Amino acid sequence: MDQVNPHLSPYSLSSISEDSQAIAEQKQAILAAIITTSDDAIVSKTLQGIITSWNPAAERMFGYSEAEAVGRHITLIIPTDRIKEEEYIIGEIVKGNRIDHFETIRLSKDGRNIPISVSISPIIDSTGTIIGASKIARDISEQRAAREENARLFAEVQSLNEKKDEFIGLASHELKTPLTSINGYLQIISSMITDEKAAKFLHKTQQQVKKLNALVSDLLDVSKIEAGKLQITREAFDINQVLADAIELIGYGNKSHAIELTTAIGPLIITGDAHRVEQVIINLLTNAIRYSPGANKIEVGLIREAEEVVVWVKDSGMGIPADKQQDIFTRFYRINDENPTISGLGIGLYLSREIIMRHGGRIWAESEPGKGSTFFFSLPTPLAQ
Amino acid sequence: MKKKILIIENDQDIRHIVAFILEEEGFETLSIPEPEDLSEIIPFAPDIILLDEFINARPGHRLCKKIKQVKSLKHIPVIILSTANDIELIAKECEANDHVRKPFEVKDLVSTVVRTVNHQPLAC
Repeated sequence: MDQVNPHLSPYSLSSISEDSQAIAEQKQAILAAIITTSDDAIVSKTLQGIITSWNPAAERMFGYSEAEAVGRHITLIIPTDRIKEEEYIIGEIVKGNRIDHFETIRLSKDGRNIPISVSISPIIDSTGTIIGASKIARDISEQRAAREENARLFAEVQSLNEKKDEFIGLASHELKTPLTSINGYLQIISSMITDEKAAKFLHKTQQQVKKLNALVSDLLDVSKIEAGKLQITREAFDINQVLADAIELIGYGNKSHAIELTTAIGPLIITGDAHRVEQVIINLLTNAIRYSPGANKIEVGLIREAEEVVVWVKDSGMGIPADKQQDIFTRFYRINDENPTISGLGIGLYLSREIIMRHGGRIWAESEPGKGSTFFFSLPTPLAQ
Repeated sequence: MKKKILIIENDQDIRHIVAFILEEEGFETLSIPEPEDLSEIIPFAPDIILLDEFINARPGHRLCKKIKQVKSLKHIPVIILSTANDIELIAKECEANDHVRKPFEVKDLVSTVVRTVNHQPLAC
């Protein structure tokens, strides 16, 4: 007795054939429904460019009814200056290639240019022969308008940004020119006067001029960072000497705190921008003094490690709460916004971080409220570089 | 014989200040705003030119660069004075011999000029 294979259908060959036909008809009906209800224009044509089908969306998009379009050449909707596109499209179709998301312009019945994105596929008959092309076109007028608006806005913002940078550069120059005169005249006067009190007041005036100059420079640097134009020169310099110079400079203008260099390791040559590194040290020292009004000592150290040098500045001031420590290197952030007696724009640490990062180094802080803060930065040594 | 310093600076006050300081140090000075034509500065035969480089001058258009391209001037050391934060880069770009950042400290200005004078090759 023949065994019945449980996986084989019990239907006869003729019933299979009828079912296949039903399935094919069902598929056809589904496809027809999709084409009829599609929001995209779906059009087919022969390889000679004669339109063979035209769905309702194509009627809405181009303004021609199915009856008006079918049988006509596809150049019906192609602007004269784009006729060559059709040669290219048919050339690709004949080779059996698809064309995806081809952006172009087509012409409506009432003469409007319609920006479209079109995907075109070859139509292949049952013998495998390419007999035509079907295209799905989407009206991209809105996307194109949005894209053009974005491009216009981008160009406008870029132009405004360039003007802003130019203005800040010019404003900085215009502010520093009178500062140069004031500073020059004050130095000349200071060499002439002998009265002790007058000399003291003059010295204080000079310190304020220096502060104002540093503020203008910092603001210019911030704008350069934003524009990606902060430049760092790379030359060999003695970090120990830069540290000593910065301490001397800050110590000269500040008598409230003793600044003590706790490590003495002699000349230490690294590569970088000595002026910018000095700017970082001055920022850290200025902050240490500013945020420790009740204290009288600032400690500074320099450590040489295997691949980097680490500089630290330690104060015994008010410290930084743990929840604010992550924000202190961000632009315009001030820990004591509520304390108007502590001045500053909140850009010193932001600038310092940018300068150190551009040297390939790190900057960080350790702090405890009420006990003070220690700021560290590292710079790679020549071997590490 | 006094060394001659040509000060090219558009700001009148800064011209006066720089000239005063350098004359006190024993130099002979001539201070002028930016000249229309570089040939104007040849008759003074300066030993050093102190030159204000305006911050927004386009690279390649800086006066210092132009001086360095003139046969009869290019041997004269140029010290640029500028308010630009990146004065080192400007100095390098325009082949200046040295630079002084504005606002300047008198001692820095004087030491830079003296250093440059001392580095000049002997006249033939």
